[in-house]
Amino acid sequence: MIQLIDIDKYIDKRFQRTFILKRINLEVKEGDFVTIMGPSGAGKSTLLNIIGFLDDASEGEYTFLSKPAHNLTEKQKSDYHKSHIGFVFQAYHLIDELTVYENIEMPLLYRKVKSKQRQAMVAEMLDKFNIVAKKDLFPQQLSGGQQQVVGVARAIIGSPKLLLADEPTGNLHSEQSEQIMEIFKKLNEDGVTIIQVTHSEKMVSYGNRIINLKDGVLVEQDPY
Amino acid sequence: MLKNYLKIIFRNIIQNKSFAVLSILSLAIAITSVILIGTYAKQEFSYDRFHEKGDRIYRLTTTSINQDVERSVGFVPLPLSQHLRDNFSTIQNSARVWEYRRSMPVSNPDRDLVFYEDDFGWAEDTFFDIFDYEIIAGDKENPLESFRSVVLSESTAEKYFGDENPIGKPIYYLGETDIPFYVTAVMADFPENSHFQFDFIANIKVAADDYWAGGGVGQEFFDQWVNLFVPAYILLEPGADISPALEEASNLVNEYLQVPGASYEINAQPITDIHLYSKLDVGEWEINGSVANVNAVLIVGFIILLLGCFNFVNLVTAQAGKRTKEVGLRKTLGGTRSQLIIQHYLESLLMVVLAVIVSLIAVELLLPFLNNFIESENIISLFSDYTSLLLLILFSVLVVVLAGAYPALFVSKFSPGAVLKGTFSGKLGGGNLRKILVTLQFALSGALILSTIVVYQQLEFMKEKELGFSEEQIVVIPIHRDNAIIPNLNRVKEAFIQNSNVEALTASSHLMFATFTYNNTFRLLGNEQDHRWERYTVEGDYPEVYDLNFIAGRSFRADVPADTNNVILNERAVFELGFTPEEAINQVLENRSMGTSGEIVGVVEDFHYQSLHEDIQPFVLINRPEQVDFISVKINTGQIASTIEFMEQTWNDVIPEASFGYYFLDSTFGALYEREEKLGNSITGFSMVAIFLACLGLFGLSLFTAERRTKEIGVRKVLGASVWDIIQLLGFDFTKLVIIALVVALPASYVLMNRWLNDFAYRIDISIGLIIVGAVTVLMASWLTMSWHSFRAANMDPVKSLRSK
Repeated sequence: MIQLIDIDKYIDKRFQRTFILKRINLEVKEGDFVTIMGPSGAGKSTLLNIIGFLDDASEGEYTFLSKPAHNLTEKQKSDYHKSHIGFVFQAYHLIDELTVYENIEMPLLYRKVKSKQRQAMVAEMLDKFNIVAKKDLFPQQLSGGQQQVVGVARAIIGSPKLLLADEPTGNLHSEQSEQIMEIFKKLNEDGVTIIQVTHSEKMVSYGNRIINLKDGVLVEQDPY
Repeated sequence: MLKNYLKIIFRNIIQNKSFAVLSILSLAIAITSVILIGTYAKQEFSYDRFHEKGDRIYRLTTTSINQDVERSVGFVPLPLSQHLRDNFSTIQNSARVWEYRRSMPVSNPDRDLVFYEDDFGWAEDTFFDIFDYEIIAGDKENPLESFRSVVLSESTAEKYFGDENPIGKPIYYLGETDIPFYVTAVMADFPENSHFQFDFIANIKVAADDYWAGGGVGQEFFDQWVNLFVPAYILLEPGADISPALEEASNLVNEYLQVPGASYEINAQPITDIHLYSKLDVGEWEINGSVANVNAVLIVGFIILLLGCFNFVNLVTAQAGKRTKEVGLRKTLGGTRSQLIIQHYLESLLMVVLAVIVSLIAVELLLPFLNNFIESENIISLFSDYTSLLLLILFSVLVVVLAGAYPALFVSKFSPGAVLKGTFSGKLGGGNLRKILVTLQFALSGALILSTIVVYQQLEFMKEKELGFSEEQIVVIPIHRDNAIIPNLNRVKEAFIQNSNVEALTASSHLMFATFTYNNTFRLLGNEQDHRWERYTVEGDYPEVYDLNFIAGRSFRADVPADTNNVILNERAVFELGFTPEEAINQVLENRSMGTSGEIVGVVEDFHYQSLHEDIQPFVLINRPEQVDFISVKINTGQIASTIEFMEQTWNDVIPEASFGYYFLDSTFGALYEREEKLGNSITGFSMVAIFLACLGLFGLSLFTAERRTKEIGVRKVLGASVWDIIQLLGFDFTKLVIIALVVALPASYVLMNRWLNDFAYRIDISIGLIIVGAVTVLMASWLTMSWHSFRAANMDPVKSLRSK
């Protein structure tokens, strides 16, 4: 599904080139549940952003679903965002001015889904994650865990093939974290490819593959 | 999707009420001011444009150059316009228009109604062919054809005839001659934006028979070049060149007048330029507007518009910083950049539309005040034509584009990765833009404040200036050269002086500050040189009542008939004759216009008989007590009410057949500077709006800064900073901006205001003190604005502000 060949990401400053990622080679197959680990500043998020087309690599080749993807236009990127990729963030990033229902609905607006169908899909999500009662609340009225549940619901409502999660449980306590990870696990079993970044050893166990990053270099791939 | 956008926009507005209100208010204030100013300017620029042939109508003027003194008057020799029409194919038509004098007593056919009419004009029958004043009843083809014809305005016809049909009926002029005029037509009232206003237009041929040269010459007077100058208008053929005609006219006038040392030039003013551009020394129909003042107000309007837009852009962009998260998120959900741009433009469009609605309501409410200001009842609404409406729409679109540009183009561009990671610093750029805009705002309002101060100082200066005569305590009784009054003048005088509160009484043809005066041709006996000088005919006690300062000779002797026709000159006239004041005494001065001559009995110091816009010119007082229009009574200020009551009673006893009316000379004096007073008031009003807007901008910006720096302030307080330290920290940045603004603005407005002051013959100098006052005002206003947020931010509980992230 994803193939990275010699991916570099660097910042040029005057006469010095600072590498954030260096010579990353990585292949992710459909159905994988990959965990990216590593200390602060290792480049985990950058790697995830590049995979999710939120950031561009400085050099190297990127193949997404067997198509070259290192030189996409804005339009192509947003098409991928609409149809193939879902994001979950550490800080949830729900829109404060919208209710739970409206937040979950938003991706469908960009995909121009018909109103009737939208209602059905959002209702299904609310039901699936047990938050029907909270659909008219605003994000500030929810706990962190509940907010992240909404965040996940929003990420998967468009049935993406790939789910990218940047420390999804970073702001949550353990019980809430487990709830989220259970959801992820179920999604993975349903065929969604997941790549998550995390610090927590405990969360690693939900995945089936670990990648360790250190100073921008891939040090260990652990396909077990 | 649109619903989603609107939902977010409205919830955002509600959540950030203060920002939304500030930005909409700023823009609404700006748009309101501009609409009001635009309406005013449009009215001013619309003068005489309602004539269909307005672009081809010219007024002829005469400029005389006599010993390097240039004087322009709105009159030309009587036969000139006719001569030009006869001899130049480029001139299609011409009309002479004449005003005998103000306050003409006129009565209805039954003679039971008498009104004193100021707007009684006389014109050739071509008048209605050239000018588009609508005839609404009577002879539409040629209403001035018959000899004693008169055309009345609609409201005048109603005044004299009520519901009756006035056509064919007589009205009577009760002045020197008691003659009828027959109403041949009724015309619509002249529009406000006409440079002359007439309620009556009578056939000018009657003037030749009845008034000019005592009626002795008759219609042949129209062929006399030297004796009478009248206002004249010509209609040019389309596309024709006027200059050959003017050249010929100038040659002719020089030939006929033959004044050694003086030369004449005939010029033509486009009629549409008269109201705003004409600055004749003598002979304007009314106090004109001034294009400089209109432009000044327009500039102020433009400044306010800029300030309002700056505020709007500032506040909207400051707000956009808070929306980065949403933008990033929308991108990850597949929102394209163009969709994001549309969303932001939609938002600014909505705000602008709200602002426009608010301002339209405000304009509706404020229009009566504007009408009052322009002194026009039926002002042309700015929206009566499509151009203005289109302008407003264009302008709104411009603001939408500008205000939306920053968030739409800039915010939508940055990488969602950084924003969403939370590593985004919140420094969005645009900070410099905001600083520049705020600096500009303060520069502009600083300049406006200094200008306001200068305008007011100049006004004060003009009011306080020593005029060379005393205008206080003088009560004016208009007598309209009434045949019933003048022979009784001495009896009135004797009766009035019995009261100890009446100090003195005199009469004159004009009042000080009259805009409409007479020029006569004077010549020293035995000398060939002609002088065209202004003159008043006065009663003997005039110099005494007005406290003129004699530097040579004596005043008139009111009780000595032999003193009649003797003259008193001002210094400027004596200088022009080439005499010292002492040498001038006992010389004989011929008045060639009136056909009289008299001794120079006295010389007085120059006095300001006109507004201080004008330089003092040579001036002659002629002792002719029978040619007077106004009685001036000098009274004690102690018991004004009872003195006036006494005067009215006495008047009714002495001449019961004439009515008594009065006013104070001070009030005329006030009217002289009405233009400046209006300018002063409007500039003050608008500069207050401007500084308010600038403060609003600063208020918003400091709110924004305080919000953004909450965390920093919390940390500083934990580290031991005092409230005062924090206020200084926040205030210093802005103070720096304000000071930069002042350094730019004050010199610029100094230069500008100096140019404005150059319009006055007598003016103030702009002192350092004034500049300091302006600077301090701006600084104080800015500090007051900033202190509120700074103080609040500084007093915040650091625990709260630190926990929030």
